[in-house]
Amino acid sequence: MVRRSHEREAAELFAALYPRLAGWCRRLVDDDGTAHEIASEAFTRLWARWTKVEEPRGFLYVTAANLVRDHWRKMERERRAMRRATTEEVVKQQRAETGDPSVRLLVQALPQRLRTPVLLYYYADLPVREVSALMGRNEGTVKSDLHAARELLRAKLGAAE
Amino acid sequence: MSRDPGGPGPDPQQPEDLPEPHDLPDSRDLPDSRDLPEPHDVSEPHDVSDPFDLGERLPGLGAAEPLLLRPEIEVLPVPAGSFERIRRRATRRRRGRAAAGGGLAVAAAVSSLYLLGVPGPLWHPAPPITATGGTHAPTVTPTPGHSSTPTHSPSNSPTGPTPSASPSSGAASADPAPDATSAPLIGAGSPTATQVSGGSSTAPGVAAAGSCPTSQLTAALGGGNAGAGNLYRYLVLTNNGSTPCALDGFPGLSLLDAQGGQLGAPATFDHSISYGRVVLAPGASASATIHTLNAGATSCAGTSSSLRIYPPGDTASMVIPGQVMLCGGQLSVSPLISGSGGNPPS
Repeated sequence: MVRRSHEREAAELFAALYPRLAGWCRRLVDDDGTAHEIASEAFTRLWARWTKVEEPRGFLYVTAANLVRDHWRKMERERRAMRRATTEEVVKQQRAETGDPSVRLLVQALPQRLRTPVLLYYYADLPVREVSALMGRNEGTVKSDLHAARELLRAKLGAAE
Repeated sequence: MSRDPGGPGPDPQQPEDLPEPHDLPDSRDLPDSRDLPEPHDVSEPHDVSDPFDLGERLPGLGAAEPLLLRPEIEVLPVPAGSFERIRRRATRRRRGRAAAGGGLAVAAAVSSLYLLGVPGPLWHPAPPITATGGTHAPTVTPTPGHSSTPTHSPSNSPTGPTPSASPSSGAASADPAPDATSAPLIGAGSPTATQVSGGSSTAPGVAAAGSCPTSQLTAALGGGNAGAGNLYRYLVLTNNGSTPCALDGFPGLSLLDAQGGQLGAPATFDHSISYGRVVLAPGASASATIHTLNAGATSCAGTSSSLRIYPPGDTASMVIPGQVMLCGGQLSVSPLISGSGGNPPS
């Protein structure tokens, strides 16, 4: 019985979070297949590690973001192998490819310390209180990180325009 | 209370002017303790007037701001069977990790997992675990080591894709080929499954009862329940004959549209639940739980008009009216258990 309720919880969690997580990945990568791969891998890591997680959304989004970054690095290496390109050109190229610079820029541009709270707050829709608990930082720090992240993004966006 | 100045507030008449918490210059380097039970001492819930929520404070982004930080995310539909696939992969990985940890560590981990009631490796038929038993229904170790694919080649149906002798075969004639190949049988006639699930329907001295033929069964959709985007309906099979008979394993299930054509793929089998032989006295029922998703987060392929059901142990199917909506490609079925409240019983 315990077993079944765990399984059902997992199914409910999956149904509630997977479509949006995969959709979010899709905005960051170039095809549906890769998006599904990354979202699936995030869930796999979640369940391979923990049977019960208090706040799985944060883990899922942070994991997916790291996987997306790994994917980009791989793609970039492949591109570089073909021709030299500056980081700016790569970014511009990606903007042109997806027509949606925002999310990709966001994850790409921010240092880890700022990226995580942004992902959790804006994309996983967690309140600041939960972000802070999840990260082991206090709420003031989380708020100021979010603020700093926005400043940084603004600068990056301005530069890329 | 919520406006407690907390010490330095010198002006009791202007509590709104207290320094914002994010101005605190501290704590960039707090230890990374993810186990904090609670967010610190802040008793107020997240204050919506936080300055970082205000786009106006950031000249230059303008209209791009909301798009940037709260973008519309189009959801992607869940690929069929992906939940089960991911669960199995996670289990394999978890076991791999445990095995790498060495014997003693594994023993400790397994026993602690068991004590905690964590599903962990328990929901796979791993030999060391079955001895503990007692989660629910007596565990019958399934014969094949099937961890990867939900579809099994039927062990007793060499007849191949014969259109079944269905009670309402008019519906089937439209599209027999995909249907007959796609509704698999499982657990049929497995000689090793001698354990009988305990249950009210178990009549004494019927251990020798044969598999229930389709002709001796009546199928119906029973009750159900739902939660967080998931729908569960019970598929109830009742012995309408005059002799006891047995069901063992999963029912094959396909959705049919109004023309009798198959809607989507047949149901996959939820192997997270162990199964055993269920003996049905005349008039008694066994049931399985059908798991689907509701509309909303995923795209839907449509709603069935009827259901094609293959009882375990018979290649003949039956078709009953039944409306099940297929969304996100999710359609799975649990093994049969005695009673009409689904598996596990509600």
